[in-house]
Amino acid sequence: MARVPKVTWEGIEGMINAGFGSGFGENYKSLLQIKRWNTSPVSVQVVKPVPPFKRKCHFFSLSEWYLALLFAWIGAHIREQFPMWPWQHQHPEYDRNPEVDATLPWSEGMQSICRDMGIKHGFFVGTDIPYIWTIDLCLHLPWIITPAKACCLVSVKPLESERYLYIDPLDRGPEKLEAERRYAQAIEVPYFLGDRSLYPGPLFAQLEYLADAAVLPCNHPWSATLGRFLSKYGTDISTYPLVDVSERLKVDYDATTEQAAFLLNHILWNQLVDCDLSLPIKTSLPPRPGGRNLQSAIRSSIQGGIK
Amino acid sequence: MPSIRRLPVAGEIIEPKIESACLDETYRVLDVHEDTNRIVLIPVTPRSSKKRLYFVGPSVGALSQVMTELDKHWLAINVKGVAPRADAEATNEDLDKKYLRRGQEVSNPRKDREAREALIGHLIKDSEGNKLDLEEYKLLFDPQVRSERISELANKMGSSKRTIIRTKRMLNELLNQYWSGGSVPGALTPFSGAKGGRGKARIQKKKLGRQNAPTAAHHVGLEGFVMGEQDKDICGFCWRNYYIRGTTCAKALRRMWREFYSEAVTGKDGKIQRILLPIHQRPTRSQFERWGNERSPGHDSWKKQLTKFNLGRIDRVLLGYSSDNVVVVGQQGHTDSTSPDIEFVRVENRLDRIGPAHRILVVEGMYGYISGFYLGLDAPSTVTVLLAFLHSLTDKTEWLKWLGLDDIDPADWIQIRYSSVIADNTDARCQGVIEALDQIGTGLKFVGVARSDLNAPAETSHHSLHRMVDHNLYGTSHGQRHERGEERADILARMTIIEAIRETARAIHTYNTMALDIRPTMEMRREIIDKGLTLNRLNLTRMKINQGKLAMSLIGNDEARIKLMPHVRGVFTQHGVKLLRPDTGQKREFIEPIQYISKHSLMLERFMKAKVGRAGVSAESFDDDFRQDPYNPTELYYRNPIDGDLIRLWMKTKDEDLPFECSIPDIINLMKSDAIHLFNARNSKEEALSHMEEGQEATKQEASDAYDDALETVEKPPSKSAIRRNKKANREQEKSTYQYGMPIQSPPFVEEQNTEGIEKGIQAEQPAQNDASKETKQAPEFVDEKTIHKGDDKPANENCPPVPISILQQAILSRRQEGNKRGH
Repeated sequence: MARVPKVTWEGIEGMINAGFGSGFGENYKSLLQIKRWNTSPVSVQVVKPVPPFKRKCHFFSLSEWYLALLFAWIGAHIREQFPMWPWQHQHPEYDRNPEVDATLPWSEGMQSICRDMGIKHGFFVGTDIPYIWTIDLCLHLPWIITPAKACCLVSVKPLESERYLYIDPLDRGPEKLEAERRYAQAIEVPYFLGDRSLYPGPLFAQLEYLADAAVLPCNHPWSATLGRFLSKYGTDISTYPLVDVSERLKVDYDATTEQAAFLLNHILWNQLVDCDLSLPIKTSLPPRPGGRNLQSAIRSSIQGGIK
Repeated sequence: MPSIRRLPVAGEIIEPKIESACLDETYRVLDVHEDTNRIVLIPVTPRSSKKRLYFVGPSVGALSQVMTELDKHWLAINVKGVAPRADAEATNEDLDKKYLRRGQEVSNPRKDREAREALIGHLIKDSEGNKLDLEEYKLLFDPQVRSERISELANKMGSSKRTIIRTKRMLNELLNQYWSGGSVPGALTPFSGAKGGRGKARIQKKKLGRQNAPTAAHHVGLEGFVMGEQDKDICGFCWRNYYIRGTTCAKALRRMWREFYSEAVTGKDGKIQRILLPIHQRPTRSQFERWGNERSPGHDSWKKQLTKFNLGRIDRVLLGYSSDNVVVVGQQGHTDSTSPDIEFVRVENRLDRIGPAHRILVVEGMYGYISGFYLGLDAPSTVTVLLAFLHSLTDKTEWLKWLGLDDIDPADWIQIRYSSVIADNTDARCQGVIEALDQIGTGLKFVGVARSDLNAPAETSHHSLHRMVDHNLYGTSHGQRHERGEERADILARMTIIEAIRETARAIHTYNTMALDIRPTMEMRREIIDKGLTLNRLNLTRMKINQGKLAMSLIGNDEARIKLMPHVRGVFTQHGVKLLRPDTGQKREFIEPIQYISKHSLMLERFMKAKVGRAGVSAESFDDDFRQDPYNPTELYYRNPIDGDLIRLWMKTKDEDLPFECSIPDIINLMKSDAIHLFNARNSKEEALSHMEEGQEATKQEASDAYDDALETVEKPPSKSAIRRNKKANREQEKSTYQYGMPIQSPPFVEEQNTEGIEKGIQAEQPAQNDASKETKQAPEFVDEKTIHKGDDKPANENCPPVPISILQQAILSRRQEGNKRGH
């Protein structure tokens, strides 16, 4: 197994200059990345793009991956392992829209927050370089017009584990969560804790396989097929079994099995037909409505957050 | 609680509603006598003294007072009664089920209940076993009558005064219990549940067993440690976690003492030390062993044989399957590498051992269908992992042909592209694999360290293949260490890699297509079994794909090759593309036995350029990158830099067997062994030429000597013009002695016989003979030997009759003789 790279100021400066921990959408670069040296003793680590972007995302637990999928499904843009710098720095949405940058509050930095809380900020092991905290998920909510509010921080923790069920006030984990909450409060963005146990299991299982069909470029030849299909059958899809959608695509549009499967997955991910993904999808039955409501409910919930 | 106002009935329950009521607890009515204003009551709940339960006897009260208080609602009749104990209502079978111990036929509570019933039967039943008359029975409520009857019975039963007293007390208590419980036999059931029945630990108050030395010596306060519940749990924890491989029981015990039965004391030097509690305040070793084993059963023997790493891996509960969240085909794949546990031999010489190989599997997560694999000498790395995925993604028709597996239908090998793949933190956890798989849209999930249970499909596939193929082949080590006396696997090795690939492919096909002995779901029954198909991994996977439950569409073979195939360096030559050997460093050396050709216009152009445009350019000018598919070694691919398409080139070789028996590394190895052969061949060639030239030199010398001899016979050497004169006539003359322009060959024995006599004649005439004629003389002997050497049983000169000399031969001889005469 590879060795842990030595942390130096030059190295950190180089990473910042290279754009790690900054950028938006396709151009964001995760500050922490999965390498040979940072294996986890407890978590399943995931490297995979999250729609609608193609860049590789680095998730350090399965819950992070599942929640990222969920938030991507409702339309949020994910930035994983987003840095909370120890020093004073800009709002996470800074630079997205330069016209409103001046209105976005700045953060005092995690060192200041930790000092106020009376806890240790921490250093990189063996150095005097302050550790760079990261938040598991930083969401951009494009449907919110106010730029300062179009951001949400999510800390993903195993809330069913004893560590979080029975909080020990001296434990470092919960203490860090409080620091994160204060950080979010200071920059006036919603913050909440998340875990996959809070949502029904089939939802993630289905989002996981539908995610690969989330994006169908307009100029893709299958896009035209889908357009023709929807214009002809779009209104009736919800009344027929989903397997009929595949069959119709195969029979009427000469789609291959794989092409039909992709288009059906695309329809379900984008909720072109209202289908509740929190229940196992039975292709032999018409889609059960409720997916759109679920999306809007999750959207509303993450706009609140913990203050 | 509903209550009614009326005269109480025997068996009913009266409860106090206020503290100042005449009854201070719940009573059961035994008898009501309105005329005498008497009511007989007995408390329902037993008394407890020193953890001993007993029932008090019936008491007689004033009925009017009870009725008054009932009117005032200070007392209430509970018409629903009190809930009896569970054991009181239990049948004999229920009691046995609950309390039967090992080796018993009847449980103790049942036995006791029956004994008690029989005991008080003498009081509540007549001699024939029938219930007493009611009036007779009511007499028992009179303390004096009851006492007399009990004494009478006790005297019959008891033998000594002591036993009589005991029996009296026992009968009294049993009667009380019987009445209190509603005068039913079940009321006599002992309180076994409270005694700590099966599965209940007895609460220990004091040290059991023999005394320790200080206590025996009358030192007070040093009795042994009394284990509480928490202490027992601690023992269980330490037994489970400390008494593991590499430790002894004593070490684990001391660690438990240090961590749970010690105090932190700051020494004079400021350092904190752990001071163990006194010995009577911590568990002893026997307590540790007893309660450790009790609280952590099954953790003693097998844990000692496992490493801490393996222990952490298997010592956990698994609350599901790794495929629980997989709902469509291709949603999740699994990959892992292992050794096939086989020792291999070289292709060109099976006596040469080359050691073990490596195998990487790609397994579909839903039904465990194996969609691709790599088997080769290279250890898991970026290249080999990608080759396994390439195998999973591409068509296998050509590959099966190459392996000679014509009996396997290529359609049985489903090509699957995975949305994500679960891998451990070894072979797939590298940047090269992450980047390459990202290009084909496959994400990676790395399980936690030592959490191979999350990658179960790959691990179980390894296991199955070990059983199905690896351990059945020659040279298998069975995945176990060599033991003394056993033949080593490398000694038994007989198989080449390509044979192992062939057999592995066959085994995987069998694994995917053999019937599964699982309980079919409704869907499987409907879609597969009812349609007459075999319930196997292949059909299950196909079923899901046909239902549209497919996570990712396939990409083209070419695209997969572009993104996953390893790059090799090759050179355009006039004969096609030749690959450069990768093992020669900076030295440019071709893999000579093979070359790749194509009639694609771009390729023809490059071949032509390599033929005619070599002047003034470096050797590397015609080098380029090619993509090679090891599963299809007869082909090579070149990516057209203009449009990005793959151009296919075919292998051309004079050795027809080579592509079907050897991989590229094998060919390189063959070249190495061929180099030795060529070296030896060159050497022997030089020897042969040298030998030939030696003979030429000798012949030349003979001819020269004969010429010189001829010159000596004449007075004056002929001039050059004289030499060239009469050339035509000489030629005609010479030709006349020839047949068909060739010297006449006589049978050896004829020549021998005849030349012998002639030679003798010549010898007689010419005593001075030159060396060449000596050799000529020896020639018949040589011929004779040669003839015998050839296996001719009958030497010609012995068995054959002399043959007369032909006219032509006579002419030759006479000409020779003439020449000799002229010379002399």
